[in-house]
Amino acid sequence: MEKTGVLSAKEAFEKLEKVGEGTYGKVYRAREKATGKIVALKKTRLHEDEEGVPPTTLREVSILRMLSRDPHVVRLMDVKQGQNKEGKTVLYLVFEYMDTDLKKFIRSFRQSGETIPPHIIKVILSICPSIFNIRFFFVHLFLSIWLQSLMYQLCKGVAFCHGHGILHRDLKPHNLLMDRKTMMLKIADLGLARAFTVPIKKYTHEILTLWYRAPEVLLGATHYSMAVDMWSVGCIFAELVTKQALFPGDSELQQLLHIFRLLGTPNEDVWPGVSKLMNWHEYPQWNPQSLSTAVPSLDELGLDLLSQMLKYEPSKRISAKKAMEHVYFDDLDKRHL
Amino acid sequence: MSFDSSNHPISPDLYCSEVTSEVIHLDSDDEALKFNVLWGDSDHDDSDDESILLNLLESEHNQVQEQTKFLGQQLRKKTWLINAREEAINWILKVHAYYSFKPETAYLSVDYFNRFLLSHTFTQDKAWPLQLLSVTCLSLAAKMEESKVPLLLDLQVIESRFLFKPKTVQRMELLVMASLKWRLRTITPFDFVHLFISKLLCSASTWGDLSYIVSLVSDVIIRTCLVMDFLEFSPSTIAAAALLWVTNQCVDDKKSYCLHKNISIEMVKKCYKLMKQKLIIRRSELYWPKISQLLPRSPTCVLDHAAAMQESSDAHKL
Repeated sequence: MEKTGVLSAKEAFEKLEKVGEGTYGKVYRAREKATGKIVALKKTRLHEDEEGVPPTTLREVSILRMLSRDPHVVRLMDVKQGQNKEGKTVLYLVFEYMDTDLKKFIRSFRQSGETIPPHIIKVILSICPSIFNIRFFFVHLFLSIWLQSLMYQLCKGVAFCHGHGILHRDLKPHNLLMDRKTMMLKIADLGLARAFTVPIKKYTHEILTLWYRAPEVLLGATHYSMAVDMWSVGCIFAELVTKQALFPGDSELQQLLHIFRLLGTPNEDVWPGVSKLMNWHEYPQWNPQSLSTAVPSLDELGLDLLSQMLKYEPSKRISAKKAMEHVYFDDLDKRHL
Repeated sequence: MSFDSSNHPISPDLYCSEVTSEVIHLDSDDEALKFNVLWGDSDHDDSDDESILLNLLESEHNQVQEQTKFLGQQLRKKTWLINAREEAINWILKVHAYYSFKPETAYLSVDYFNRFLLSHTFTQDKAWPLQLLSVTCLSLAAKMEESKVPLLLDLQVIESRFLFKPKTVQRMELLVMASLKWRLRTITPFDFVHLFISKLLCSASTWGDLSYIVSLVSDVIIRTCLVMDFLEFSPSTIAAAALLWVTNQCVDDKKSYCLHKNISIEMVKKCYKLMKQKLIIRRSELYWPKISQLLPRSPTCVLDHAAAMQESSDAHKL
């Protein structure tokens, strides 16, 4: 089946190491033999049920083909067919390589001693001798320099997707790739993404990661909007500040209770229509807490932006485009973003 | 120059009203609320619509240049392929109706089919390749658009002369996708319909039921798939002409500019005129799963609906 002159995936690339598991397949770091360029190969099996190419692969590839000109969406360079050891057809999605993701980046700051470059330690030591101050100073430094930049890039990438009629639906730190040197951030793993022509039907067996799932999804709303992605952006924003997940539920009910404990149990006053949603029932009644209790080190402007991302009513939640215009980003140098 | 559309028919839906009601929940009283929910922004303003429309038109422009613009010319050289293509598309539309797929699924199936024809040659002596292509394009479109996708064998339950194994369809899927350069997410007229409706509503807020309008517009758009001559028009042009046709309006400069300044008034006029000619002639040949139970509300629609039924019965007498 291989065409003459067209290299198969194995002939074109040298696998260097497995770097992770995507939503539906393994991901390898590899070198393109012809150019020496380092790429990421995402492998997708086709043989599982003989129902052809999986819908998630079709959607991811075709949507990425459409979105790849934005600098904040990971670039899909090619699609290659190959065969695995059992002779089954596999597809390799060839992506630009990014050396880390936001999940790893955040985790690296929890072990702060191991990640601060030595030359920065020397500078900090000359200013703040004590260990406590070093950690506090560095965290503050990170907040002021990179937090805004990463959040702005995320809003910009999401705005680009939404502006082209694409919902991501699975935004989480693991799906946000980063280049450590340039601190560029790119949205990846669009296997659950889909184009919307309004409104979008409900999807059974949703696979959205619980921690970043919008309350209307948890409550069984049958119509999604771009607001589901903005809820995820808000959760990621808080996690970037605190280094911990904002709402780490381990079941759908626990996820809702986590949200309600902080933002207050919703009612018809704050969220018209909420009690008519399919999964709604009686919940413990909590009063809303101030967001600053959950994200204490975020400044007032950041807290305002975060609160607009975490509005209960989807139509009241800030859009990605408007988030980019929020005063929180006013002092950020956006020329290279 | 204006086109008199007072005689244009309002026709039954191509697909079930249940699907329509399931997909489209816009009611006239909470129409504004729905649009707000759609865009996730309480201060929904025209600039958001405008930028989305601009993005769509830009993507459409990039897309059209490499796609089905020249297929019409190629098809005219092969009479047998025109008929075979129409037969294949009719089959796709029957399966689409059987499974109550979304209108976008039907349109995308035909789009993939057309684009593949553009780059591959078929011989007249064998019928199975086009049938395999039809099954494959419908499968790909369903996977892109539907929440529940039937098994590959189940897709072939309706009037199929050949039955292809899933492995065969999978190989064809890979061939089609390589041919289409994996660009399955294409701009369709459906991307524009709601944006255009929201613009026209600002200038003429007389229509009572948005879901009815959307249903009729979708029906017209799907039927353009059967007529080869519509291949020269861009999706936005087809959407604009279909909306103006369904809402019984003349095509003039004001209406076209109201939609977007980047949309060519001349092309909309030409497309509109073609709709008037072709869809009346072809209407009786289409497959009707059922006549829509939706009833028009305004007096104008009632009159046109009655005229449509009259014309429909006349057409069947021929």
